[in-house]
Amino acid sequence: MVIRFTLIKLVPYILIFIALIASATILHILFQAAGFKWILRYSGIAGTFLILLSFVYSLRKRKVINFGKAKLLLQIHELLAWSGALIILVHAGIKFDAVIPRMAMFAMLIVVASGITGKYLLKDARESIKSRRTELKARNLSEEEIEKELFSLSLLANKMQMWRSVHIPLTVIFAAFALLHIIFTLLFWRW
Amino acid sequence: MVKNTALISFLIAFGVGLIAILIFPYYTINPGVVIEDHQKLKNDCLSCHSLGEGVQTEKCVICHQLPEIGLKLVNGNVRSVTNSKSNLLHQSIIHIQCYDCHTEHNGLSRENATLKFRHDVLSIELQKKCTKCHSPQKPEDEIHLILTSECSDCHNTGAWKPSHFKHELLGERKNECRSCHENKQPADALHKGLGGTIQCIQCHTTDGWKPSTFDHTKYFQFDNNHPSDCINCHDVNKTLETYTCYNCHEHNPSRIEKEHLKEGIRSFNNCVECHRSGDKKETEGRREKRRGREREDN
Repeated sequence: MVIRFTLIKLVPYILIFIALIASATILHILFQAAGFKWILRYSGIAGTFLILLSFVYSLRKRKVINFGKAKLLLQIHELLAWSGALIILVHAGIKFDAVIPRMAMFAMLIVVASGITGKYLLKDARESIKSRRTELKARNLSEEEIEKELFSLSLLANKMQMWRSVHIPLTVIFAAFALLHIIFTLLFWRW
Repeated sequence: MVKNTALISFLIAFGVGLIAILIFPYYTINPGVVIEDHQKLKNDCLSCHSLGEGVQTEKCVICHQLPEIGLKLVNGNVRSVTNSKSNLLHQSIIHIQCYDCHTEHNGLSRENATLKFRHDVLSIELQKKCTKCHSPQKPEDEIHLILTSECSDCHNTGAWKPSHFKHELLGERKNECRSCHENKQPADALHKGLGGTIQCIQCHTTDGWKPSTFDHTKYFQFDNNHPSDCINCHDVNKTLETYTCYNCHEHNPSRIEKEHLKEGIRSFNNCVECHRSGDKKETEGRREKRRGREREDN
């Protein structure tokens, strides 16, 4: 019963991921059929730019910058990263040729999947805390006691810390392969 | 902890990737299969590429020397089937950049290595001499058989159509409109009545059917009593060069004769010589001149 309930909750997140791959594949095929090879070529730059822009949240999170609300920046991070990944997938297409760009692409997909998982975990943890708070309130505990109880649970902190220890290394692996792809494109391609 | 893991992950991924690229460049970074003839160079990227500058023509022409393209193979042997058109083309290209027309990493077939040909890479002189390459394609219709000028006088390198035909290219035959524009003579009374001797060019120009230079006012000015209805004055089944004013009851031949003789005018059969409109006063000047001329004749 619990597994079934969890799966139902996961459906929108799985759909976000499927929508990414499906729409990118369709756009790639359409642009290729229409002869817009230059769009496929230069969309890689646009997608990379969007993904780089999404890291503003990461800078805010680590207090490198101080402006902007973290919650809003997180939403922008999710949107920019998803859109950037979409545009890069349009650029790459679903094919298997040179290993390095393909590694970069698959790493990016794993990072997106990881990001979507994080989004789910965050929402799930928030809901658990909310439900636990309601439960504690029903037991007529004071606000201070409730906060203390919730803090000891550390539901949100623990889950997100674990998730972060996966999401960030995956992101840098993606960055490493993407950087290699960009460097060697700059070295060998005619601009 | 996360920071360290991230840094180590980055360094491992970057290092492994870099080593893989250096050892197996063809499998790690090439964007597609190189053509069959270049397969032996597939792991030596720098044989064609220059770092930071892409594929420089200077590297291509080390093997593919322009004066020999189409005539000799890369190894110096004469081709079994030479291609003088390809040779002429490659020697006529201005500011030659191989990548303007050729590409690589697009499959084994040699055909995949040639992109759509662009005429603008050729010298202006050769661009105008289409028949150097396209001689068998000249149409054998009447107009093209007459013409001896260059195709580029009417057509452009983008497409055969639309063309911009210039009648001047026909020389003396440019006025023989009917030889090309068959059955194009309008079926109205004016044109039907012209007959075969009148040439279109007498009223129209090769720049356009309109405006035409025909001006009926030079012969006779229409008014309410003399409308532009051809059949009133002309026999449209014959020719519009002749006319009569006696189709109208106002102009009774015997009365006209009587009135003109009374004024001393004996030659009055060509009415429009004096009467260029229905305005009586308009004839005054001409009448005096006419009388004077007839007196001199006597």
